[in-house]
Amino acid sequence: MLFNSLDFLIFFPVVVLAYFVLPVKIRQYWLLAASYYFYMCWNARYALLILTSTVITYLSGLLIERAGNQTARKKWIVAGSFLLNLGILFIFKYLNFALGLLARVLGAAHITLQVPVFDILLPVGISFYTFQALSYTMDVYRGEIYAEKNFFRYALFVSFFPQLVAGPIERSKNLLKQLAVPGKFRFESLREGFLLMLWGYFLKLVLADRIAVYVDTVYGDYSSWPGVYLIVATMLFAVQIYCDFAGYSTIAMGAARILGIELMENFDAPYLSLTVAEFWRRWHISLTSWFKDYLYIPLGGSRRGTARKYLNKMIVFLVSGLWHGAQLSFVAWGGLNGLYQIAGEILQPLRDSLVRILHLNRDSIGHRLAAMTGTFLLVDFSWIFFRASSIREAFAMIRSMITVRNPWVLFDGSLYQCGLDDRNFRLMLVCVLVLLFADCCKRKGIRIREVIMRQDYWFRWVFTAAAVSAILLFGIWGPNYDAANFIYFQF
Amino acid sequence: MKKKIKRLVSCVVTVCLTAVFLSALTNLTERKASDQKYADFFSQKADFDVLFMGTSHVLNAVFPMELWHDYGIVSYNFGGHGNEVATTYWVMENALEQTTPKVVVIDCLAVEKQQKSSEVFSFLHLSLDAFPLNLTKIKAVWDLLDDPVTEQRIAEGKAVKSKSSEPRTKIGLLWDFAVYHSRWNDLGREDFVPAPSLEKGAESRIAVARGKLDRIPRDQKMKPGTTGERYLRKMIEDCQRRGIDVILTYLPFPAEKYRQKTANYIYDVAEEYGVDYLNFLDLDVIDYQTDLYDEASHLNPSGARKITDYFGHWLTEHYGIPDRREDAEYASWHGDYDQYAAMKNRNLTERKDLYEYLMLLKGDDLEIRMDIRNGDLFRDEWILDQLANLGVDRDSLSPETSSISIRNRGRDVEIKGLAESGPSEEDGADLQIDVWRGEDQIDSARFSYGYDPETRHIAVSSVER
Repeated sequence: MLFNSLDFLIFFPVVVLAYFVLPVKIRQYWLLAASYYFYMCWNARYALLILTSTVITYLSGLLIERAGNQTARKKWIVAGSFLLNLGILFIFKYLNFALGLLARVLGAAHITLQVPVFDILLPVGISFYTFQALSYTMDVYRGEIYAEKNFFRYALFVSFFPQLVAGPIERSKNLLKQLAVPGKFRFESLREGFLLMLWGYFLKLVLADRIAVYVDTVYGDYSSWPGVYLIVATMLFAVQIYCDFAGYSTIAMGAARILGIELMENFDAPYLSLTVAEFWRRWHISLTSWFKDYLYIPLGGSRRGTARKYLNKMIVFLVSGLWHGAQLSFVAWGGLNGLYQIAGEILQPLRDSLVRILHLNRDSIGHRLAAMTGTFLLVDFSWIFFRASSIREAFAMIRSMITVRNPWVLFDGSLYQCGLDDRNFRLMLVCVLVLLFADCCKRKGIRIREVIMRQDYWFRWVFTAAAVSAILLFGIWGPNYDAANFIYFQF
Repeated sequence: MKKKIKRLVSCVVTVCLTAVFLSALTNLTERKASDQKYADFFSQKADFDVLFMGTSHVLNAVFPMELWHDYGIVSYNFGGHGNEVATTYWVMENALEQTTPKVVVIDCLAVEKQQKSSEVFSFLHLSLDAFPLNLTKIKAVWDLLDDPVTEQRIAEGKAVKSKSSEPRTKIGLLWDFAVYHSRWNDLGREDFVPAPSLEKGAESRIAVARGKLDRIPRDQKMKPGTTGERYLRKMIEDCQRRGIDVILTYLPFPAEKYRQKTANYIYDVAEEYGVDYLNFLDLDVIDYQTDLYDEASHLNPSGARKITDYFGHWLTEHYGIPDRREDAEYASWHGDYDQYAAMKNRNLTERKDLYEYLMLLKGDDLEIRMDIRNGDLFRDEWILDQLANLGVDRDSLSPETSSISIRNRGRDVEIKGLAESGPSEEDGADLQIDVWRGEDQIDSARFSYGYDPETRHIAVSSVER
């Protein structure tokens, strides 16, 4: 069930209404049932996988707590929980990839291997809920939380439907505590959650899916759309994936807020970052912080010398790439971002010297704009590997961008032949400006939702009605619309 | 408590305001074809006396405005492109929510089929979009999309190819904003200024084709028990339950054998229910040389006016359908007819094809004068057919014929030779046709042509007005 489907628009109000009508004691059971139903709409059998992951991590939590001070035993339990959960993840997501890779490596050594291809359907959101469940095991091991005794509450923590299939990857510290005390109905939460959902739908339906039409056309047949077409598509893809993923996260946050639960912020105006390192602190925050807490720090973080720090960073980014998809192009994307960070740190003294020698003001608007643009271009370049279906294809596209000179397509209307007519293209650009404005406000600490809520009642009424109508009018949805999945579902 | 009420009011007002905005946007963005077709139907308060139901055969064959002008009959044409009988049934059910006619005329084309709805989904939109959302429409959509035969044909790639890639969804028919909202970038004047059909649901198709009907014996009949037959029976039974008279009809065209078997079978159905059946395949009403729009099926206005006239007589004489021309409740129809007549005038004056031009002159209240300076005209057999269609005796024509005058829909024809009409202007065109509607001359067209011995047809080189 997609957030942008009619099914969800019926499902969600029913869930909310029943949630607040039912007695407090059984609300969590209702949410649990709703969450499993939500997931089973994709594939009922795969609900067993979440259940398995839930049971393993639930028991591991209890066992860790019972182990008390027996550190070695606790480590074994953690290792067992990780092994079993990552094993499931491996089989369902990486088995075919690993076997294919093995065959290629052996093939290079002239050893022929008949690789069986398993017809495994990737369970939606498996990477998200597996990581969320594993974070619980680690948190109990570290003594940051007590093990949850109530199995149903814990099962709800793993399967809570707003963030089940595409995050944010919540921490037990934040979510379990909230689930333990079902909140009362609050009008303010309803209003704020609704506005959040509206913004999420705007990002997804009006922006991401509109841009997707252009990007899919160009990337789908990149040899027919060379040079500037590809450059524009790559720039737009950066916006598309942001709107797609942030849109989903925002809808998830809004839906949870209506139910009285606050999920963590997953994006914080990432494209306004001045460095790639800052970008990664503001992009997919729940995953980045997960890797930091549960991989980077356990690897030693920056405590074991510079070389080890760089290695740890590289490992984190390569794993992050792999987390996004069982393809070498994702690994390349992760690796490239890791290199950016390492190069950034290595070159830091040089950059500082240049700034000093040239008497540059790092706080000036010009400098900040240049840094922002540079960061965007670096990140956007890495998206090529993310979006392309293979590394070879990514390099072919890069070659086309560099070698084919056709700047006139920016001016002669040729861009409008890539699936978006002139009016749709212009609307898209206007909406990108709206997004930029919203992100700037966020950076300045201006919360647009609060500004709206401070207005007179008549303005709020008209604004809400107009916003819903505009999203439905300009959004890409409906029977003619090929209901595109949110990009991050596949991860 | 007061705060809670305020918040509740706030929610209700926001929802209502959103509904108002969306309703306005729905009206603005929807494809106007269905609204245009049905606008006059919905705008009329008083009941219609006759409804014509069926496929595009009805759509192109019965002109309610001509029935009004000639007989004072108040009718509406609900024929729709590609309507299967089940679709026609649901169109009728929706229409009967709005009006109670005395007679419903049902086209029996496609009774032999198992499909419920057209494979071209936009045709279903055309037939249903304009009807308001109510229980009958919801039932219609649910039933029509429960259509495994059509689904299977589409899945097997056997369906009629359509430009639209719209999936067949219920939401698309029930709330067409779901489909049409993407038209925001395609809105034009007609979306803001409604332009209703001037033909009360009918559709003039202007072209001329020739065909031939090889009639099979009456005892060859289709196999009963089809989906189409089931819905035909439902229509008849529902009308009879409501006290509405039913006339079944099969409109004329060069029907294939399997279709003729259907036409033959309908005699049995009509007899079983005791209703009239006008099978035009057995009635010598149209001329297959002049009255077809396309070779395979539809009628052009010449054919349609003949069918319309036949229905006018039948409805007046057998069903006592009243003449409403003096009825104050229907006074607006006079103005509607004036607009319709202006449309017919435009259709005529825009014509450049001589065959189409002559076809359009048939069955209308026109005074026509033709001045012929090039006798080659009469070497073309098809032209002779067209002139005969206008009431001219072919045997009276010769290369010497210089003038033909036609009045009273072909009842008064005057033909003159060169000797009688006197010398013609030297720089005149090969053929000049002057047309009057009442006192007003509506056209004066001068055709230049030559005879092409290969095709044995007239080739018009220029038309001046």
